[in-house]
Parts: sequence; structure tokens; C-alpha cells
Amino acid sequence: MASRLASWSRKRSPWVFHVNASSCNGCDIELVAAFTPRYDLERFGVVLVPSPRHADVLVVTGVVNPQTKERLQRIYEQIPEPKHVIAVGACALSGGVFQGCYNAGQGVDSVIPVDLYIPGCPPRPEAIIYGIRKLLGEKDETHSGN
Amino acid sequence: MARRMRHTVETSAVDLFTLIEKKLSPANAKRETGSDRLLVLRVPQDQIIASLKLLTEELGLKHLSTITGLDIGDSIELNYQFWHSDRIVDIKTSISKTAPRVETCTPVIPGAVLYEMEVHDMFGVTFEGHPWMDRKLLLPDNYPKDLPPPLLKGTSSEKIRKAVGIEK
Amino acid sequence: MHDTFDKTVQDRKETSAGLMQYSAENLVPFGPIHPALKEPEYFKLILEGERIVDVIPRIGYVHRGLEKAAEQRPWIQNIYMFERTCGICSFAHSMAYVQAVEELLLYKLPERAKFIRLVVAELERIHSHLLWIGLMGHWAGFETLFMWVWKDREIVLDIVEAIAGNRIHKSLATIEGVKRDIPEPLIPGFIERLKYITTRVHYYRNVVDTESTLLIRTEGIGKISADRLEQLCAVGPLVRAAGIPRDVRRDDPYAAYNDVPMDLVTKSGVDIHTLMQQRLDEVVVSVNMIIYALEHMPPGPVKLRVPPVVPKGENASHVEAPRGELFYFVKSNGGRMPERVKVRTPTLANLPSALEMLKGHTLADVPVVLTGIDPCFGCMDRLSFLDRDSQKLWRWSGEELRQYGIHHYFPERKK
Repeated sequence: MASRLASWSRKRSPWVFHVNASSCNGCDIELVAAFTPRYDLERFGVVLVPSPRHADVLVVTGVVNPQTKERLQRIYEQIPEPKHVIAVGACALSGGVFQGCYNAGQGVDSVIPVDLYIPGCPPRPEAIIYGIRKLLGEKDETHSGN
Repeated sequence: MARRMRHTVETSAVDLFTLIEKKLSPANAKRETGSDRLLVLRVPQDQIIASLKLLTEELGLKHLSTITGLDIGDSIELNYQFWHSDRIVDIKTSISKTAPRVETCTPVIPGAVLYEMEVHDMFGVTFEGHPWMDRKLLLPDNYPKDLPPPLLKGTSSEKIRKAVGIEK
Repeated sequence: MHDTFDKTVQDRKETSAGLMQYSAENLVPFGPIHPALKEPEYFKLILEGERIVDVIPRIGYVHRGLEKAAEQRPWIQNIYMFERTCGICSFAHSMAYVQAVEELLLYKLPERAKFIRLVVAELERIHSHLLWIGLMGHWAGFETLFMWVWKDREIVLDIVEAIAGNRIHKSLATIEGVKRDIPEPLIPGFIERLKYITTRVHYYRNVVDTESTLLIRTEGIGKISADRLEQLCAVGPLVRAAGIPRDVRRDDPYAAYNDVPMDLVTKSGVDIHTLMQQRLDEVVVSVNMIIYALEHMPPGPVKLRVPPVVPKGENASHVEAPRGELFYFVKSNGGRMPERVKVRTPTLANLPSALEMLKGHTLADVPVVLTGIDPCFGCMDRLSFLDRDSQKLWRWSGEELRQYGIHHYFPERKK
């Protein structure tokens, strides 16, 4: 019963920790914009938390270069189970336009396991909202995601 | 040769270039092809600091936009690029590829501190007197010491990717 | 040394000129390396008592290797890579790159393309400055300002999307032109929205000047002298706020900046409060320039067809990105791919000044001062601290530092 309640409350209010792993900031500003009044991700109970220890969901942007790889792994380990990882943007998916660059990683799933991929360069705030809600298994009432 | 097509050249600009060339002639400065907006002067390595001093202290060109490194085959070219009004002034010097060392210009231009670190990372140039030559600015910490710096033509991206652990 | 330091800390708020002779032998802003600091990827702040005495930057976390990759990609393909150097000033990057290349080609850029480039560049400036004002609100503990400004910023992004098809990476600049034309029927709608933005900016300008939450955290904080900024080769709104009238748009005009009147905004001394005024006033100027450009746009083509080969030569070009002078250098050996492309971002140019501005401040002021130069997000995520006296070393995320600052200034908000 307690774990069902915990799992219901996690779905109702997922706490998200955001990591910029060598991103150009494009995805980051669209993610942050998703929390601003026009899109308002908080109405779905999604909250950005200051520490990975409080998080349920890790959102990662960027190619993950060798300098940020270790930090990303460290943060992933600090998040308590059960945890989910969302890779946001083309760079996080595969390296994006930087594939082949000497210091660009191959995307987040070469470093930590990923549960959800949100493509785009950068994805629109609506796409990010749609993705997070999909992860939580919630059905969309409207197609616009608003 | 580069052609700038923004607006008409004023004669005062041509005078500025002549003035700079004249001022730097004691440093054996040689003019290379630029354009009406881009002055390119090459000086021998041992005259680079003196030239920069003349440029900044006596001619008032204080804003260094960047220091660009370039692998030109048998040597490494350092290009100190200044922005003054509507002109760009390049002061170039070539240094040895096998022993790439040059004096730091930070006592003359403190703002060059990070530009020199970048050239150090990318081309392996040691700027003597710079406080942070044993420190990286941009390259990852696990960049192998025995691997040549990235922007030298002979260094391949694939090799770097394997060496820093991006690819197996 | 300690006595000199105490004295200079007192002087901190009055003048910062000559303050950082911390390494007394030379004028570079950083002190010697401290062996206690091992974590590679963090900005390290050294504290003595309450005050920051030294800052050691480490910015390799965004380094991807673009300059090397550019040598292995065709000229046009590089546009799409370089615009992704930064999501906030992406068009400035693509514009500086294509400009450097265009001057090696013997074509004349179409007039209409110049005007469209100006319009999009100024829209980007507005979006970037509004983003920054919002972030200042967020970091200073004034969340409402952040939410309201970013709501208004969406209107600017709507206009960008109508022109370019994307909000962030516009991919609009191409060699010898722009890829899309601005549809005439949309222009009156753009002008109406821009006028609304101006009214909002006037409101925020008033907020910045009167709201005590902001004033207490920004007035007198983050000072640096004009002389020191010149020595450190700083660029952008930072130097203009110090009173130095330097702006690439005015000094070395590109695109249509010769044809569109511009008021140069300067202030008379840098602190974070003046920087807020500076950037908000620049937004108003940008709106006026866009409206003028839209109303006086010349007819004609927006691009020319050019062969994919660039003649031999080298060139440097710069633009006034929202954060300051963005400098590109390209060299061609006559082929389909560049021989060399060099990028110098304005944030790199301003970093020494930012670190200088931090010294003498307490930990609580760090988020506001660092954000003051308009850096990338990443800089704020990774901070480690060393207390020199106790040798205590700790790491905070940006959010933890932000909370610390808010609770320090507004202890009543502590939960």
C-alpha cells in the first residue's frame, strides 16, 4: 500500500533535476521556458529541484563530452530509486550536429541508461511537456499538449 | 585577398595603416596582403612583444579581439588580432613547431590571459611567463600528454575520440 | 598581505581599479594554483573569511571541438554547426561566419538580405536581454520578474518563428543572403507586437529602479572600472555600461546597420543595477531599429546562388552579439572546406572581467555578479569553494548557491 501511494504521488508530482552536459543552452532554455506561464509545466505537478537526492527524474541536455561524463554519472548515482532519465534534444540523443567532433560524446545513453528521448534542436516546450507526461503514463486530453 | 564591401574607405584609415606600418618598422614588420579594412603585418618572433607594446601603448590600439593559432605546415603562426574603430589589425609571427615557445604578452595586454591559454591547449604553444601554462582551459583533463594538440593538422579527430574515451 | 587585503576589501565598494594586484608581479586576474582543488570541471572560488579573494575558471565542459570539425565539413554545412555553438546567440554566430566568408567571394550581398539579417539579429538581442533580465530576477530571488519577463519574451519568439520557422536555431543566414524572405502581410502584426514589448520594457525598467528586492541585491554590487575593462579587453553591454562607447554595429557596421539609425546606449559606471538598465534600454533601441528596418525594407532577392568553393584568402569578421563582440576568422585554401575557422565568443572575452568583479564580494553575491556578465548556464552549475583559513572544501550546485544568496538577503524567507 505504501509503495502504491509513493508511486501515485511520484506520478502526481515528479521532481526533476536538470543537468546541462555540454549543451549549447538551446534545449536548456526551452526546458526552462516550459516552466514559464505560457506553457506552465508546474500545473502537471512537475517541479525542478536543487539536488539530485530529491529527484525522481533526471533531465539531461547536451552531447556529454569527456569533461561532463563523470559528473553526469555521479549525479545519476545520487538519485534514489526508482528513477527515470530523459534525454532532451538531438545532442543528447546521438551527438546531434556535433557527431564526429573530437570532444563530443555520443549522447546520453552511452553514459547512463535513458528511459525517454525527446528529439528536436531544440524541442519546443510543448514537445518537452508531451514527453514528460508520456513518461508518467498520462494520457493527453488535447493534442496540442497545452 | 579579402574585399570588404560594407562602405567606402576613408583616407584616414589608409593613413592609420601606414602609420602602424611605419611605427612597427623598427621591429622588422612586413606587410602582407590584407584589404582596405584588414592590415596584416608579420614580425619576427623576437620582436612580437615589442611590436605589441608599440601598438597598444604608442598607437592606442588596446582592444585585442583574440589570438588565433594556425598550423601552416612547417611552423605555427600566431595571429594577434586587434579591433580598432572600423579596422582589424593582425600582427603575425611564426614560431617553431618542434619547440613552440614564445613570451607571454599578458604584462602588456592582461586581457590576453585566456587567449594564450586557448592557443596553449589547441596548439601546444608555451607562453613563457604566463602563470597557468600547466593548466587546461578547454581540453578535458584526460587528454593524453603524449597525444599532439588537437588543432595541429596531423592530429586526427578519431584518434582523439579514442584517447579521451568517447569511442573504443 | 593580509593588511593590504583588508584595506582593499574596504575599498571594494568605492573603486575596483587596481584591486586585483593579487598576484602582485603582474596584472593577470588569477592567483597561483591551489593544490587542494582537484575537481577539474568546477569554477573554484577561494574565500578568506566571508570574502572571495580568487576565482579559478575552468570552462572545458562545453568544449566539443568545432574548430577542428569545421576543417572537415563543407562551407555551407559549417553554418549549421556554428550556429549551435550557443543557443541564445545562434544567429549572431551564423551571421559572423557567413560574413567572414562572403568577403572572400566577389559578390555583392543583396540589400534586402542585409535588412532581414538586421531584423533577426535585433530580435535575437531582444530575446537574449529579456532572458537575462528574467534570470537576474530568478537568481536575485524575485521569481515574479522571471516569470513575467519570460512570458513577454514568448512574443518575441513568436515573431522569430514566423520569420525563420524555428524559435532558437533559426538557420536563416546563408552564404550571400538569407534563406527565407519576410512575408509582407505579417509585418504590421510584428510591429504591433514589438510596440507592446516596448511598453512592457518601460514597466520593467521602472521595476528595476524601484523594487527594493532587486535594488538591495544589485546596487553597488559587481563594480569594475572602465580602465580595468579596457585592460582586460571586455566587450558588449558591460563596457558600454562603464561609459565606453564601443559597439561593432556603430564602429564597424555590417548588414544594414549603416542604413538604419541607432542610438548608442551607455551608462556612467558598472554595477549590476546599471547593467540591468543598460540591457533594458538596449531592447528599446532594438525595437526601434527593427520597426524602421521593416518599414524601409528594400525590394529584391534575398539570396544569390554561389558555387560551393571559396577562393584562397583569409578574413576576419565580427558582429555585435547580444553579449558583445563575436569574432570569427576564416582561412580558405581555395577548396570546398575551410582551412581554418577560429571563433572567439564574447563570454570568453568578458570572463576575466567577471572574475575580477567577483573579488571582494561575499558568497551571497556570487550568483548575481556572475549572471551580470550574461554567461552560459553551465558556468553556474559547477562551483566549488575553498575556505583558505580552514581549508574546508565544498561543492554547490547553482541552485544551492542561489538559495544561499536569497536566504542571506531575505532571512524571513527561510522555511
